[in-house]
Amino acid sequence: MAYRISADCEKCGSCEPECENQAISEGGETYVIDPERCTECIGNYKEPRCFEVCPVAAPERDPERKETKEQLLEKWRKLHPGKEPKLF
Amino acid sequence: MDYDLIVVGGGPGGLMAAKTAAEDGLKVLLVERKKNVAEIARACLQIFYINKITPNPETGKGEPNMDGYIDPVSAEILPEKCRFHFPVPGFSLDFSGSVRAYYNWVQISPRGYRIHRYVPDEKVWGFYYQKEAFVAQLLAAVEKAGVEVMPEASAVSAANTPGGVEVKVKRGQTEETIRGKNAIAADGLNSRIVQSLGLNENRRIGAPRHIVAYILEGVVAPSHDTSLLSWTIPSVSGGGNVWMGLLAGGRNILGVGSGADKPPAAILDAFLKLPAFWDWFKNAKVVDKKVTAVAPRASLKEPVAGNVVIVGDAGASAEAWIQGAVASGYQAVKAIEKERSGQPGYKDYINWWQKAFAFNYSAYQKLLARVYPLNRVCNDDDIDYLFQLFQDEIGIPALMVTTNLERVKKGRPELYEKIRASLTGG
Repeated sequence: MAYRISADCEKCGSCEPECENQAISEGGETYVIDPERCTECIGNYKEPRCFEVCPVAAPERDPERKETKEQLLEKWRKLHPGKEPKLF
Repeated sequence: MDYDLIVVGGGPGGLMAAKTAAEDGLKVLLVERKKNVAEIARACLQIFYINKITPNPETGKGEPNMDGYIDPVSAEILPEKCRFHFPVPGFSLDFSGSVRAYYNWVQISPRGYRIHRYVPDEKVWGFYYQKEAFVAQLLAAVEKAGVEVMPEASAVSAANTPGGVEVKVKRGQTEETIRGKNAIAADGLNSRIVQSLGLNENRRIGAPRHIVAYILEGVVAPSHDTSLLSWTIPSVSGGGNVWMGLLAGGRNILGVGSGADKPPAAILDAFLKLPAFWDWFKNAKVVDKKVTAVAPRASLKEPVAGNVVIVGDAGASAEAWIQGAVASGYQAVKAIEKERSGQPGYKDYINWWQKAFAFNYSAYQKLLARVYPLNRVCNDDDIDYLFQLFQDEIGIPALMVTTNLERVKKGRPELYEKIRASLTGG
């Protein structure tokens, strides 16, 4: 599942530079995650990094976006051609 | 080359760098990820600190503003404005906006015992200054100086090339490469530029800390209009802390920090239930909320990589402060200009950086090791005992306790042992 950012977001922007897939950007009322680039940090970190840094726990799983670990890894490989994912 | 200088990040450091360079005649691009460059999105105490000396961790003496920028600075309050002087770099900045003086820093225990960090009401140790106005005024100067400002643009990486630097910038779905003779990385604590240059190896020194700051109206606390208040309450905030500072319009900012142990909302909830402070907040109203996350890192020892110079929090350990960001933005431009005229500008910048910030001193690192264990090893009752013991003296409680531990031994031998063990690590 890709992550999304709930309305709890206070727009501090701490998550944006932490995302190694560059999936996060400033939206209207909140920061937003591009689901096409979000791998739930599979390939990058053990836990989703945006959730870990967020002071108000705004990032959450998007139930509309169900993906398997294999699909997420495939997505990661497309985003980072020629690189090897970090697996935990 | 597209530009003489590409500045990444439109906070105080980046804005000061862009202004300085453009006023000196360079062709400058400023890249900022936010839509509204001057907007302050993150929680910040907005203090201009003056009279700072790095404290001596052996004696516990010295001016106890612990991190950040320690070159001498001063603030001149004029009828219409305020003028900040930075004599070491050699510039002054005018600011017109709300300013409030801090005379006191009161450190408070769970049951309300107080230790003053400074002699009460004796001198001004710092000013609250309205950061939004400060940044907006810097931005206006940047635009007036002819800097090209590119908002909503996220710089994702920088790479040195022969005689220049290439900065990759993401705008919406498109990515472009911009070329400059030099770049300045002023993109803050989690600097992507610093990361992309490979300077972050082993720099991370802790888990992210979360800070939630509540903007309050109607607080009635003792000397709350002249003081920074900070609380050490293990049962409420664990290894984190609670503090309250001044804002414009008689408002206060109540900050709640946390480690991974407790979410900030739970800390605030527990804090507001404490009987010792109930009266202070009973009529207070939360009018706004700001948050931030800090991922502590070791500071960069040499904040220059090829044609890229790093300023402010991007190279700092936790916080350079606004004034440290501004000073380093100015110094970075002067370093680049010196290099271009064949002088050792980068070497000078590195030397200045190493002296200008407390976090670059080993004495400061030793101090941190002394300050933080107290929160972790003591319970509320211990903290009350220690604050009561030292309440007539001036200083940082954790330092006073750890440098005078023998005084704890008589009344509380077990507490003495507990603190001693935490200091020696055994």
